[in-house]
Amino acid sequence: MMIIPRVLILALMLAAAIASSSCDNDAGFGYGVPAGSRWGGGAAGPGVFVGGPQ
Amino acid sequence: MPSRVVSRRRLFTTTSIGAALVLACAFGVANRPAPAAAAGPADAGRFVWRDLMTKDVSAAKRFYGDLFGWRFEDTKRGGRPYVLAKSGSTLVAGIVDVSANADAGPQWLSYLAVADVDKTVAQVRADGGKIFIEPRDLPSARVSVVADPQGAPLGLAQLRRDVPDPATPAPNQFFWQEYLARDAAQALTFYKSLAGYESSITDSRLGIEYHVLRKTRARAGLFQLPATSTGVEPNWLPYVLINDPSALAARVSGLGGRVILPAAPERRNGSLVVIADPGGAPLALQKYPF
Repeated sequence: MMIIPRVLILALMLAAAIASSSCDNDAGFGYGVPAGSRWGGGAAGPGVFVGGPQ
Repeated sequence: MPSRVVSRRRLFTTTSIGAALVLACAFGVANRPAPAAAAGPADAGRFVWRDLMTKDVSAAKRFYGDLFGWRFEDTKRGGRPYVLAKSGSTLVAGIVDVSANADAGPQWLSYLAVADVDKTVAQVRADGGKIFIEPRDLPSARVSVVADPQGAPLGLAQLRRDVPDPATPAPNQFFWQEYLARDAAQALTFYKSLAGYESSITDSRLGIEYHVLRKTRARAGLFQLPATSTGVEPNWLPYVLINDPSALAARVSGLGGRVILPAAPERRNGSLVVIADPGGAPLALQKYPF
């Protein structure tokens, strides 16, 4: 009789872990859009990066 | 009833419950979109996610894995492959394969949290922007992808759940955004109206005014592209926090990328490097504080 609760607990923990892992996968958005590159081929960049993060 | 039969029945019941939980999650029953809720005032104006559009997902995984130590998980979105990137245990980005889309250029697409994505999209449209993806529901948010009036692509997300907003940024993770404008005055007006930003000028050397956009705290920078700057169109440039950008930049070409702007004393005391990944998507590496 002692084996049954252990199996039950193990199965529930395993299911919860798998379900939790699967649910994590809905992060992000994943859209690709028909927008061309904004930095043209070989663009050297504006070179005027004043300021900066605050 | 023999105890062995009882045990088997209980085991069967337990296994069935577990399987049901897994299937429910896997098929989205547990994640069915809730009615869109307005993002809190503290959320609107935050950049909450970045997706890389690339035509070579394998090369991107190798590059960002080697450069930043990111690890990857292959998933699906709408039946299409989608790669999630993690820095340590933190989800930091997604990678989207656009090899089948001839009009999609390699670039990072950043998502801005807004209070009401439908109203925001209507405003973008009214102001002359373009709608790539009309608002639609995902488990985590109601989202849309647009181009602003100056053509810069931008994702919009009306969040359904909290997204961590660490006050102290972590290395190898995104922590800043910068808008490179063709018309800074127009862009300021547009984004202040769109996200409720307040702005202030924090630097004006070289005749370039650097505007910081604030909502709760500083969220992004904005400056005017010089007229002499050709080849760069208005865009949102994402920033990754790096402790030693120069050292990392030295490895970029060996990993298949390219240094667009090397570190230089006149650019934030040599604390900034702009690179392109193997596909050509630009990205800023910034030491902070600098």
